[in-house]
Amino acid sequence: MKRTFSDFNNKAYSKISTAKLKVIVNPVEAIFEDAVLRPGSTVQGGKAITVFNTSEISLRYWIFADWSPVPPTTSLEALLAAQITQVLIIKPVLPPLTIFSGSLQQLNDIPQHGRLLESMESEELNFTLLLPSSIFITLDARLKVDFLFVAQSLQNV
Amino acid sequence: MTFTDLSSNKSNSIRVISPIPPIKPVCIITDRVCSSCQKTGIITGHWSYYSNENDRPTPFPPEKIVKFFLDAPVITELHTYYSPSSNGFYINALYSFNITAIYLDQQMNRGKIVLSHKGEENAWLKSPPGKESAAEIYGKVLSYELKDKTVLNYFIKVKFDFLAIDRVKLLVPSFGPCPLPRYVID
Repeated sequence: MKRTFSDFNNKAYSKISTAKLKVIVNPVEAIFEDAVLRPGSTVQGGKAITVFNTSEISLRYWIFADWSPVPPTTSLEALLAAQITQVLIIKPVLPPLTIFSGSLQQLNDIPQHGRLLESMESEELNFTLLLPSSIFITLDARLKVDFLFVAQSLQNV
Repeated sequence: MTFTDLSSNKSNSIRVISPIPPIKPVCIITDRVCSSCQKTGIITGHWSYYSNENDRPTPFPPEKIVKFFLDAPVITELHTYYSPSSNGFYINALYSFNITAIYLDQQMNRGKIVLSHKGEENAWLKSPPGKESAAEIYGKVLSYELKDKTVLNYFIKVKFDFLAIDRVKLLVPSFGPCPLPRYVID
C-alpha cells in the first residue's frame, strides 16, 4: 500500500490581530507655494503641520520628502536643488525641539527611531527651508515636494 | 503583526535660484601696479614771493634762516585718466602743505614767514595687462624732507605714492571666493 508522506505539527498556530491604524496630517495642502529660495534666504512654511494619531493604538511615524523636478527643470538640476536646499523641522515647544536639520535630499526616513504618538495624540511641526549664502553653483530649479508621514504601529498587536 | 498608514502634505512648490540675477558677485582685485607708482618731486620755493598779513616782513631782506618748519604734505585732489590705447593711467595729484620759516634779516631783526604751498605732481602708471579700464587710484605722501635752503630759495623733496585699484567686473558668475588682492611691486 502506498502511503503518502506527510507531517503534522499540532504546535503550530497563527495569531490574527486586527487594529485600525490611522495617522492624519493637517493641512494636506501645500505649506510652501511657489517658495523662492535664493542664497541666504529663509522661507517658513505657511502653516505648521499637525500630525495626529487617530488610532486606538500607539504609533511611530517617520518623515520623508518626495521631491521631483517641475519642467523645464531637469532631474540633475532637481538633485542639485535638493542637495543644497536645507530643511529645518522644529517642534514648537519650550525649548524648541529640532526634529531634523539637513538637506531636502537627506529628509528620508527621519528621525532614525521615528516619532512616538500615543493614541489620539498629536504634535505640531514647523517646516522651514533655507538656502545657504555660500552657494557657488548656478541654478534655477523648480521642485514639487510632498512631505510624507509614514506611520507604523508601535509593537506587535 | 504591525500596521502602517501614510498621510502626506502634498504639492509643495519650491524654486531654487542661485545666484541672484543679475549675475554676481563682482570681484575686486587690488593691484599695486608698478614701482613707478612712487613719484619723487623736488619743490622749489622763493621766499620773496610770499607775504603774510599776520607776520609782516621785517624791514630788510632775510639774511639767515634760523628755523624751518614743514607740515606734512597732503594730497588734496587726485585725477586719473585711463588710456586704453597705451593701457595706462595718467595721474594728476594736487597737494598742499605749510611752511614756516623763522629768519633774521640783514639788521638781525627776527621775522617769520608762513607759507601755504600748493602744487601738483603728475605720474604715468602702466596698467596690468588684461585688466579692465575702470580704476580708482589713491595717493599719499610717503616722505618729505628739506634738501636745502638759502636766503632766497628752499628745496623740498617729496615722495608721492600712488596705489592703483582695479575694479574688474567678472561677466560670468565666480565660482568660489574672489581672488585675494595681489600686490605686484617690480
